[in-house]
Amino acid sequence: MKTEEFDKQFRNKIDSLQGIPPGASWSKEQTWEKLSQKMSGKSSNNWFKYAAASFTILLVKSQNIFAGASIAVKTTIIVAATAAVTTTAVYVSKSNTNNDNTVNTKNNTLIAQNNSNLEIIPADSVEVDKNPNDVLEINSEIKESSFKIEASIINETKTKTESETPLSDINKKESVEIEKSNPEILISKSDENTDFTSPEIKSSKPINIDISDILFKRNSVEIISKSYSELNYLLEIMRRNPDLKLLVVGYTDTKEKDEDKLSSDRGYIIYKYLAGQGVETSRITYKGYGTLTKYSSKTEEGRELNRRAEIILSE
Amino acid sequence: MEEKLLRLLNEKDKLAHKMVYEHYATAMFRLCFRYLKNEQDSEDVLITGFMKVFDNYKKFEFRGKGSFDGWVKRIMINESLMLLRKSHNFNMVPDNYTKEIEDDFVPGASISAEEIFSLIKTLPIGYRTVFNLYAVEGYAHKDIAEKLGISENTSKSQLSKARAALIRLMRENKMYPELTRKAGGNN
Repeated sequence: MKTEEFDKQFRNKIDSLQGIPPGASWSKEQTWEKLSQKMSGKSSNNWFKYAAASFTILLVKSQNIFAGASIAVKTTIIVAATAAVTTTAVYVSKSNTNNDNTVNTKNNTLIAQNNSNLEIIPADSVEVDKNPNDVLEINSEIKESSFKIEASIINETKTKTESETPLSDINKKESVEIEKSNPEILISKSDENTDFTSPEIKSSKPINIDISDILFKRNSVEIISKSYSELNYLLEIMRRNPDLKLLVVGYTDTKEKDEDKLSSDRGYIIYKYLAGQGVETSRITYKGYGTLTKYSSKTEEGRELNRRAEIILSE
Repeated sequence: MEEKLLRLLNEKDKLAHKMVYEHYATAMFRLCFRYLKNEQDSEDVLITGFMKVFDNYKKFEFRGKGSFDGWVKRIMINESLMLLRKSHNFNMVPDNYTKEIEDDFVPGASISAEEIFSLIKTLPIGYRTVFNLYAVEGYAHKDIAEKLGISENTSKSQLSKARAALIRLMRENKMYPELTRKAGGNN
């Protein structure tokens, strides 16, 4: 049929197209910004712009008690912030001052946002993971110079400490240290990137290369030998395709300890391996999502498969 | 891959959603652009489309490779059509007679994909929409009729007129056909 052939030729040519149409001025990143704001119902204030005006304030000492080698405590922050001036937002973030004395932040959690001159009393609670060497910071953006923030940390043993920060103490930083726990966790991060800021991506055909999950030994970031070939296959793909980017997501099985840190460390170790083999770090992002099972955790086989890192490629 | 994307959507954080967006955005932009012809509309539809993906992915049942891709695509197409229908009544069909295709004219290797893409975009809205839906997306006339609020007959006639218009455009632009019949034929 002539018309079928005609249609087919058109369809094939259209399907073969990749990337933004020539001459189009569309920006993938800008559209993401708009979409992202719609998703969170935020106004267009991007708090990163105010970074210069923000500063960290005093934290609270935690008095946690640990039993044996495992962390038994979950730390909760309850923040009550009263601001006498225009405060745009109050955030809680967690950072890790492990080695290098570099302070990195992740998981900025917005507690309250207020664009007016009124007081903010969010009194919201934020759950924080149980990780060693974590420093908890409360950041606030302000427009004027005087304000006060109260913060308290409550842990499972129900001891409570409170602090109040007068303005003059603002630039001091006390750190909260959660005692180091599981000695089997070997990795310590010096760098974690959580912001997948991609440069303008020219082509975006979905990548049909599927990398199998990389598997790990229990409670460890050690990769099992069966997964070595997959990891090297991934490395080759990254080397041969310089436009490819990847996201590594680490997971744990239900019986492992310290799921948040372990899953993140699993992502990290793959990141470290690839970076060490010459893959630019700007092309790799890693994260840990804790125990999000893919296979039934009732059998040992299932659990083995759940101790994994998943690889997602994009252009 | 698609299952991983779906699992990512279960995470509450932006990074996961951004990953899914990164995966589909350019291809979906192209798709909407093919229907809508202008960038601003295409961007608007991309945004509402992705909002729908993020809000409704739980209702989606994964049925094998390509099913999630297809689902995302369908959402984008539907959003594009909704926008088109706001400003255009697809039942207003001009009444000129157009010849059916008689010669063995198919766009060959010498015509680039981008040229084909532009040709489709230059078609008037009725021809363009029906041609896109039928020839490129593979919808049946029954479905097209439903989506556009027209009769199946209108859909069929718009389609044949679209093809004739494309041939005329190709000739005007000196894009030469390739013969479909070869000796020993393996078409």
